[in-house]
Amino acid sequence: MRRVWAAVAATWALFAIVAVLAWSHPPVQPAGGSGASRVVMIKGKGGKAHAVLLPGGVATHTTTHSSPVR
Amino acid sequence: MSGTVPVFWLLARASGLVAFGLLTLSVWLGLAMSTRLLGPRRQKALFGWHQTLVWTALAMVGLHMLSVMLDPVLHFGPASVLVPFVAAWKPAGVAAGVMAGWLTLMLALSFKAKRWLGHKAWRMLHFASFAAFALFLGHALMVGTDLKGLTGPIVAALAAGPVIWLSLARILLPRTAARPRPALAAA
Repeated sequence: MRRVWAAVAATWALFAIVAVLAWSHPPVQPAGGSGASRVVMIKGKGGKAHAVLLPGGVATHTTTHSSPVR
Repeated sequence: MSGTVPVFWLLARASGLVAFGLLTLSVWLGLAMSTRLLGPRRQKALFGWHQTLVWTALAMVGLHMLSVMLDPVLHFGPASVLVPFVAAWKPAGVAAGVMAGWLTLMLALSFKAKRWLGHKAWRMLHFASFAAFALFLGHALMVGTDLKGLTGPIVAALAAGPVIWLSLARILLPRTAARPRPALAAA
């Protein structure tokens, strides 16, 4: 009976905390997501693919000024 | 993820908090038993609750690990939640949680192996619960999203305060005073 009480109380506590977190706080994702470094493949001269490491917080569509737009 | 509720992320945070609460309660109960501050009559009931809370906490730790693995943003594999220092995100903080989980599982299983281990070895092994508690606390403070800022130190003080106080009571109070000798009890 003790185990049942503990399981029921823990489950209620879990749901209550989930509800409070979902209701009161906007979901905060850790740095593992959009802030993490990513490797993207870009095509260089002659169509050769190169792996480029993007530092955290940089979007994949970020451009440099090295390639003038014409 | 935008527009949808991050269910696994919320579950990971909530199960982590519940597991931390249950483990803290279990450590308090274990120390209360050890100091016999609540009287010798309640020892059996306290021991039962102590064990039940540990296993319930371990179930919550399992849910915490599963939720972290299923979260689409974290990219945690089974190795990240089972092997210390494998996780790419905050490896020291995650490793503290992984090691605390393994230690707690060992302590929970040691209840079953108490006869085989013997009381003295079991008690020596039980000192690892202090390390497990410290690691859980470290994990919560280092990687816990909900324990940032002032909340972290407040929760740490609330959880660790009774542990320190009860440990000091266990060391400083004479154990024989709380346990009546059979000869005296009979007299």
